[in-house]
Amino acid sequence: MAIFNLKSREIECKIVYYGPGRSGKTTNLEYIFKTYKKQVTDQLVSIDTEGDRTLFFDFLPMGLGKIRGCDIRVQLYTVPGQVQYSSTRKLVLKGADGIVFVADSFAIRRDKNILSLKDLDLNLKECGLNIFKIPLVLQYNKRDMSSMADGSIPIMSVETMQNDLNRQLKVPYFPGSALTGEGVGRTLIESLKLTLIQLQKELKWAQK
Amino acid sequence: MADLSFAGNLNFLNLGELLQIFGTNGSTGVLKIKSKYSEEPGRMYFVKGELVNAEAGSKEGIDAALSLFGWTEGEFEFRTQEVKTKNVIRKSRMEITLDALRLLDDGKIEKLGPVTYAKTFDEGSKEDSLIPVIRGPLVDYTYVVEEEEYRDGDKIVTEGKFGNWIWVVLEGKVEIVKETKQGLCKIVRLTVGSFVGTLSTTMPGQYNVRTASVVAVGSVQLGLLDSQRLYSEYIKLSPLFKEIILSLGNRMKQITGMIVDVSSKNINVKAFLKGKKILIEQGSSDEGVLTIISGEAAIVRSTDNGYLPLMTLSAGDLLGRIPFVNTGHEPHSASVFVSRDFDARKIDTEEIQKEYDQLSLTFKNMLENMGTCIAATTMIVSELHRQSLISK
Repeated sequence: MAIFNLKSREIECKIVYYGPGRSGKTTNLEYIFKTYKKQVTDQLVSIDTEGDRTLFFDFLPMGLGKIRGCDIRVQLYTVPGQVQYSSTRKLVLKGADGIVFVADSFAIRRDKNILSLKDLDLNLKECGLNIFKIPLVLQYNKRDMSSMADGSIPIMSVETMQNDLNRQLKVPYFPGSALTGEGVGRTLIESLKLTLIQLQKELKWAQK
Repeated sequence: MADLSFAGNLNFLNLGELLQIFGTNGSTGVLKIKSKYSEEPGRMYFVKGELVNAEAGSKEGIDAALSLFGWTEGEFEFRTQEVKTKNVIRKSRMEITLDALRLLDDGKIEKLGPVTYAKTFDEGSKEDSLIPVIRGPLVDYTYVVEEEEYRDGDKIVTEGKFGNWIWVVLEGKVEIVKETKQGLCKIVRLTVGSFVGTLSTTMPGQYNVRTASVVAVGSVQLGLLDSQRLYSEYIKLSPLFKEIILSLGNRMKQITGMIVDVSSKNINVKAFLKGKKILIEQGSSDEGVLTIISGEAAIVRSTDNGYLPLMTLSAGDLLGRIPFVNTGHEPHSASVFVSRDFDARKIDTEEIQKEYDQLSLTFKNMLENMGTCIAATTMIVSELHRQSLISK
């Protein structure tokens, strides 16, 4: 649930990048931080957790317009996937307004993707949220690896991933490469769009 | 004194969430955190939403702020006021929050609560093992009639002997040990605020055989409690509440006894569950409390290695989660199987909660401490059981 900050006349909403370890959540956020530096209002906070990193920064997206004269401030987070980091996960997922699920295109990560998505479902439930209702976008990351002609790293087709992850959810999805930045912006913009539409629906605010 | 702006329980809003709220709000003032396991409250100082300093015990600055994240139980108060303390914390609030939660999950921030763990040298396996150290709530001195000093190794209570006294630990630590065929088994350590002896041992007319020995670890100061006063408070209780206290004492006694059975591998699950059917399944969220009228109820924990019998309860005992005592048994962490002739009556938990609220602080502390001791001893039993299966 977004916070309506009366003092600074801003609406703060929270978008969380979720996905299996090393699927590229952190790389996504680092790319956004670099590319949209002018719009970033805070330091990039990076916390090393075992096998993964948790990132956080504040961000004022341009061109999204205002809602009732209020700016929209977005907080972007990643979540450590490992089971033991339950305190962090709870804090980050509690009150999330939108989720970007970053899936790994490597064929060997197929099960990890599915498990992580199930995990997201459970964790959201714990926070009183519903995976079918929360604005969710999928990103099939590491597509750039398919250009490796020798096929040394087998990657899954988008159809396979759709079938694995998006059969029931039926949410927008984007192939991407967080390393080169491909698809990163589109994923974020789609997520912001869905999140704001949802916010307006929930709060029944008329857009000016 | 500045006006109270915002107060509540950390169960409802934890420190991480509070930091975000004050941040968003750009608040300036002092956040006080009170825990019943610390004499001094912790403090955090905010200027325009950013954390500038903190105090927790002897710690200051960022170290204090991080350690306060371990205070997961307690109450907070925020007062809007001018903050004159030095600005010693330079990290952003989100960085502190995320880092503190990671450290907490990694076990690097100590949780301030009833149970911690200490390494102890185990003569049986010639190795260090972990032993739970149980801290009680802050001591209520009004019931202490005499202070007694003990030196390292002094035996305060001897297993098998009679005794009616009950003490509260004022300083230092004592160890609860029990005789088994494999030698002395260390069960738990008790530290400040914990009670030596249970409420049921103070009752005249009971068979007050000590179920375990108590030995001083280092120098210890104990406060002997006024048993006359405890007894007169006890007899004023309703019959149902007396049952609760006696039944908890029974649980404590039986689970302590299990240590001997588990160490001598004297466990027969089949015989234990013979002719019994399930009443409460482990993990269910049934909140009702029952008092047994007839028959037997077996409390069993299901572990990765199958069922582990914990105890058998009978007429007069209580089943289910009593709202103010957490024994770590049914319904959440143990199942209940009952005999054919089992009969029980549901009791009004609101009624007993009301009676609990009227109790003296010492009584409340004792009940809480007893629950913690039962839960910790049950954990030791499970651990011994696991080890005995491995050694097989």
